[in-house]
Amino acid sequence: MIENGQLEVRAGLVSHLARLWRYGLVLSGRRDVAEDLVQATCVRALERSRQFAVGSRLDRWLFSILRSIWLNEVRSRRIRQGEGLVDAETALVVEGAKEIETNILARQVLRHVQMLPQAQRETLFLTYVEGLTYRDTAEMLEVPIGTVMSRLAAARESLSKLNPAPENVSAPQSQSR
Amino acid sequence: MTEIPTGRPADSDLVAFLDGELSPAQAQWVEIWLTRDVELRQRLDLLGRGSAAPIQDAFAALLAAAPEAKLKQMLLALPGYRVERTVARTRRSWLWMRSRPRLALLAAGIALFIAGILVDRFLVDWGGITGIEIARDSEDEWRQAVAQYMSLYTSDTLSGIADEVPPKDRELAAVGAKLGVHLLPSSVSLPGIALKRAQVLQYDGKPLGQIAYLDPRDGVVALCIYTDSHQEIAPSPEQRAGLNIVHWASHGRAFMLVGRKAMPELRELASLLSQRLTL
Repeated sequence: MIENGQLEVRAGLVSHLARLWRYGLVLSGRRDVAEDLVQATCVRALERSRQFAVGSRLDRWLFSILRSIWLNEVRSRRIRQGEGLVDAETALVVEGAKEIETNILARQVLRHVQMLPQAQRETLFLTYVEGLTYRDTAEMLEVPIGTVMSRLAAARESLSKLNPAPENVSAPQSQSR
Repeated sequence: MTEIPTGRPADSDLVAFLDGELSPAQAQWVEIWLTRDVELRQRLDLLGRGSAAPIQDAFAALLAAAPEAKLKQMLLALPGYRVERTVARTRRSWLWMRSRPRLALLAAGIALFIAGILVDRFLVDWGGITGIEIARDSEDEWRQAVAQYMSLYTSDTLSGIADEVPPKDRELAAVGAKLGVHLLPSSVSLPGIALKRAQVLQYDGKPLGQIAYLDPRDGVVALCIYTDSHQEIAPSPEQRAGLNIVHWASHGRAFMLVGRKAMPELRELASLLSQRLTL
């Protein structure tokens, strides 16, 4: 018998595909792997749709599934097959470059985000891009909330270089001359 | 973060302060420190420059680069996904019946009475229900929809209908005319199970006939006929939605016999029907 949760999953899946792909790209750094992750997530979600709690956040549920598939299946398989993990050179920028090359600032930001350690990148993405609270991010990543805070602090410090303070701007310029 | 810390705020506290994640008391603690600690203010300024807005913009651009059409195609091709527009309506009515069993029984009685009269006018729209437009690109989609729908039937669905009363001839003739198939009581009757009802439904804009039987042991069995087939298919077994199915296609008509009967018996019945039914 079809349950309400199953219907909600089936009806809602289509509206979350692009965001799932983006999360898959943040995790894997590869467009093709991101697509595979979305497909695997949809299959798993349909299989487990009875477990979805009606009225809860479908996007969060799908993100958890995608993350679990990445960590437990795809990532480990790629390591075993020697395909490696995220390569900064085949990064978010390269993968998405064709479509967004006119937006220089976006490319700079993505390049910097891609250079961050995986844990920081994912935490930053979930909190600042997907808008999860610290608590929700901690739950999703299964880490203490303090870990989320310290990762965000480290990520922000790195990204502050993108937008230097006015008094710091002249220094590198004078050195380069 | 509920307790109020003591001592100098760390970077993580400053970021939580910037992100509005501190309680009022904790925020006050940070503010007090900021008023008296220049280095801390510089630190806050530095961390504030890695703000969320440019990150959100950059990732919005990435979202726009998602291969959405390709992903949708992928989703549509997944087994088990393509049925919800049918099931959603069925499910709603099923929920309604479950929550109001007495009313539902009454309604079912009225509906069955009306069905006998309106048989070929009462077209249930099996398509375009939930607002999600799902493309049809396979010949078997209708069988999945029927199987999901039939999975909601119980013996009680049909037990109120008297066996073998005269209107059956008219029902069969009306359904047969709609589908372009000769449907006579002699051609569709099956040994040991009672013919209960014949009606025309609709799937994806095309007529879909349903001839429902009630087996005293195995419950509902239905012969469904759909008028959109481009292949000749010999009777073939399959399972969908927990039901056994034997399906075949001939002369532009697709047939399926569906129920909870064991497959060998269902095959025998399907073989009988496939030989008898002619256009």
